[in-house]
Amino acid sequence: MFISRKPDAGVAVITDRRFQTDAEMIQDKKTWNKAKTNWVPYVLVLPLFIIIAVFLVVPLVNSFIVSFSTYTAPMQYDLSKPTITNYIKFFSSTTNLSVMARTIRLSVITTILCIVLGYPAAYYMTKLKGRAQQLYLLVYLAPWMINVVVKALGWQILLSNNGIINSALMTLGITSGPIKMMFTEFAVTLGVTHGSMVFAILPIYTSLCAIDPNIGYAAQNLGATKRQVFFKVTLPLSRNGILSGSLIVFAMTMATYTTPVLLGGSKNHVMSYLVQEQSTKLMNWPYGGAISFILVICSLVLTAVIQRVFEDKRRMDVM
Amino acid sequence: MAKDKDTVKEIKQKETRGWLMVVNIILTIFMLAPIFIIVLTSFTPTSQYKIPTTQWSLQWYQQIFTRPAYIKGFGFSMVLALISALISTLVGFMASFALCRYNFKGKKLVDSLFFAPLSIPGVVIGNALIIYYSKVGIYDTFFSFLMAHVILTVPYVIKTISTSIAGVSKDMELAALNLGASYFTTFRKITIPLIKTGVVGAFIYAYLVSFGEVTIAIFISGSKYVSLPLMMYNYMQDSNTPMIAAISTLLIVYALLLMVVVNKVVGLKKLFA
Repeated sequence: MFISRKPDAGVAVITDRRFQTDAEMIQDKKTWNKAKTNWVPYVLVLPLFIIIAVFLVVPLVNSFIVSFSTYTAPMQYDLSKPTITNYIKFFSSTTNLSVMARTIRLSVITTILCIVLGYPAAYYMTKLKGRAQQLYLLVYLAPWMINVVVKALGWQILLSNNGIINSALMTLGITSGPIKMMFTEFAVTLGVTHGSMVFAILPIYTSLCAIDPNIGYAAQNLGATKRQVFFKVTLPLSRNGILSGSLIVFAMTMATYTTPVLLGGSKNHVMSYLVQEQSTKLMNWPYGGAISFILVICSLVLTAVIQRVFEDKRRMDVM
Repeated sequence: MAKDKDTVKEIKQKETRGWLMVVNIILTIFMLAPIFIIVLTSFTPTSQYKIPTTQWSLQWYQQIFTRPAYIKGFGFSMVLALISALISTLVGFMASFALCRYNFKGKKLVDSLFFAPLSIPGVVIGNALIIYYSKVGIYDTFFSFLMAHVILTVPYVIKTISTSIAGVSKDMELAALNLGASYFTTFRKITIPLIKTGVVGAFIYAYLVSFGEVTIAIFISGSKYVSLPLMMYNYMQDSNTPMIAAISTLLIVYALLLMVVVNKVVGLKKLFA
């Protein structure tokens, strides 16, 4: 099986040259080489493969099977008669459907905000050089490096009824009573946008850097204004960066758990919360599993739709 | 006439620059405000989240040390992050070396499998693990945490190390082989020194990801092992005093220090490239 595989051509040629005078040794080296090049990658990959298989693939398959079982008692399930009642149960509740709608709405708004706000930041970053650029990158990376719980606390201090923003507004006399911002969808959107901004900025930045500045100069030379250059040249050419940034942010927001729980309170749950509620609070694992796979399918379908809609097939060869 | 046009253009250019500056200043404030506010309020003398104006106090920092649970939680998080980062750097390095330097059957499949933890929502992994761990009987053990964190950090490790291996030309290794070095010597004297920074970067990256993990911990944590972020998460949901701001400030300082180290060793941009 291994002999039939193609050996690593470059290495084989060079080692052959070393032993050109001794025919026997060439033969030895060749066979050894073949065996090595075929064995080595499998051996290298094996430990991680085992870990991922045992602690990710098997548990996921297991929970998928459990999602078709019947709930009998907390932490107990009956697998003798597979049913799809758990899936039907999810879609027959209007509360669940509104949670699903909220999750999708949150993801769409966050993605748009991250792209619209992240684009100028990425664009500005390309204009900076050296230390200034590094410092600016640090501004956007810092929130990523800092724990989600800590970030949520920061927003809580800012947004709560007796928080910084409200007391500032009241002392300035702009409002008489506090504006309710904490535990609303607004707070969740703000927190999630803050957390995933960097994942929109970096792909856009990379795609902006890849644009040959001569194209812009050429357009200007032909009489285009700065504005025209931006909208007709720069923006279309950075399309792939925008697309990959949106896909990452969208998928991340669909999956987000901690920020909505801490900033949204009990009225603004997302789908991730439903999974957690079922599987660790109520211990209804079959139902929790079903919701988790509905979440996965929902996220996969929507990201595929985004990719389909925004992928520009005409310009694929340019990038 | 022509000169006038040019000045108009210049003014317009300056205008767009100014507009861009304003947007970026607002964005910078947006990104940094929650972080600064935590640091400021952690020094409040009152039991409310207020920015101290006249009096500064360290009482909330002293409070932390009267609660050994938090110190223990920090220790647990740190040990867990260190060991899981070590394991995932080791297995991740082996895997990325195979993925970058060899062609083998099933390479595509293995590659996408190793990146799968990134694209699966945390709650889905958590839910799968709690069912599985209870079934196998390793629920609430150190080992169960360790494996979950290795899986979670491995994509970042492979990404970082692969980038640095791809940056080393294969010709260098071939030249060494051609000059008579054995495979092992080539690997030790050529490959390792050239990708050392990538490996160190991957380790720090994995450490950071592991240290900050909350979602899966909510699922797989029992009573014996509680990580620091999970403790803070629980604390924020029931009672809430500025002590949590003091802990957060310490964590922010910790993260910033690590970030400076990462920037020195690998450069921040490379992490995401």
